[in-house]
Amino acid sequence: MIIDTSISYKHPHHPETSTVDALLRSLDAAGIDRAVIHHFGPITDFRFAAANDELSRVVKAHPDRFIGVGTQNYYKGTDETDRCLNDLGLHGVKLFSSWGLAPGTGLVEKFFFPIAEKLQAAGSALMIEHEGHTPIIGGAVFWDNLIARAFPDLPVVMCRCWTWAYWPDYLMTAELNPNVLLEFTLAPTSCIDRALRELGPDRMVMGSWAPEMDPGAVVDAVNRFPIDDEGKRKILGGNAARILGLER
Amino acid sequence: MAPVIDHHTHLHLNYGHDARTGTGDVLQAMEEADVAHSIIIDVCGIYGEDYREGNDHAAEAVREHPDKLTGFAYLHPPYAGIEACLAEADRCIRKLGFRGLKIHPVTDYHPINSPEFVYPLVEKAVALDVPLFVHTGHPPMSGPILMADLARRHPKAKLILGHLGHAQFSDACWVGKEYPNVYADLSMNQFGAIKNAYRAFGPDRMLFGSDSPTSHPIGAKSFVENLPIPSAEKERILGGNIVRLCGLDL
Repeated sequence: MIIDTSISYKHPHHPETSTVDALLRSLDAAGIDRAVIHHFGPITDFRFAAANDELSRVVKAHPDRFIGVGTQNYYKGTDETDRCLNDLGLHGVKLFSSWGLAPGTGLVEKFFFPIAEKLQAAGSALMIEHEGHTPIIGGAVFWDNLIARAFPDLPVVMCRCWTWAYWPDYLMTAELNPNVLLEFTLAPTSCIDRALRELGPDRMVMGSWAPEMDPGAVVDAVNRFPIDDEGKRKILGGNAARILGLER
Repeated sequence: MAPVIDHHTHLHLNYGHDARTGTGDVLQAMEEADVAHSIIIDVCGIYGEDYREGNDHAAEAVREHPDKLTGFAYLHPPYAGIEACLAEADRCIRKLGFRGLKIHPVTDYHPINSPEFVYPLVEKAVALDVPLFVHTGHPPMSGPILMADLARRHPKAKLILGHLGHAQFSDACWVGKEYPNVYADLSMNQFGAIKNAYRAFGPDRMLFGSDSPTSHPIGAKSFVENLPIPSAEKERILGGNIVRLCGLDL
């Protein structure tokens, strides 16, 4: 099964290509079976609960294609995390670093740890979007390190690692923490080669962030990686199925 | 009041200046900021010149002003190879009387945790019992998280994390919290970041520095002086910690 770990529903900058129908068409064209879908609207309007409600309806309408993850204001506690997991049929939450300012020393423990605890209890993974916005957020890996160390049994996925200059930092984070995985889309060969060499196929997942990237191009790129078919299978979906508990 | 020591000043900077900066620029700023002593590092190597000649310039400045200046060696491993660097480290510490080593991965284009260029320097610093001062905060070569690799491999090393990681100060603070052998250079960063550093590194591992003459020590000093912490802790940050770290006799 091929699983895209990140696609954006209702991307505010790409409204026409991020409808349900448009996303399904792009998945079909790429031969992708399922996708982890998030609602991207709250990035600009901060209406997290309404977005999660809407996403829940979308996922329920297409349960064989979409795995939903909610979004939330992480400064407001875990009520929305609970709602996503228990009431809305979503698989967890994705934390967007590009929303709000990253909390400073001591505050990751206060705001992120309770969310991580909920996700671990639910058998899911914590996905952190990195975005690469400098200077406050871009490439910051301190929260991945803090959370991964405090919750060594929780898969922590570094998502949207689009700033190639920060890949050494992402790879170092993965080296320091065996429960950290790297999500990638199209990337320079030098970055991919390093990731394959230092992390290996067990700790990489494919996430296109459609509609911003063509998921078919990402699948094609993985199929050209200099690794065996089993490694490709893991990257294309096996790892995602495992960390999100889809195999249980 | 204990003497204030700026642990991060430079000779031969071409950074936003019309000409290369000299000893006079550093000394004048020290006087204006009431800084008693500074660590001085010649950075002509950044501009493609032989870093070993730069260390000779720094040594000359120290000889002329021994009560005001102490030298750290600038090392540029890719320039003439790691063996030359290791020999230069020996020369600077044992013969020139310098008290630390400095590397600048961003301009020298090697990762902070380069096995070829940096691992041997860390071992050398441990053997010479001096700190290794590492510029950080400019990916891809110098993200602060890469210091974690050096710190975990060499727990006896004394590592100075340059500029508190610049904009990557949160990552720098995580490294400082996790690894007790890493010290924070506070130069060229801002008050909020420095307050975070206090929580992460604590008052015994923070080092006042200005990167003079890029930045004036008056401003850098005021950040420390205005921290809401006890005076005794400010004194350690402003000078006591670097004295202890480098074994300075002042």
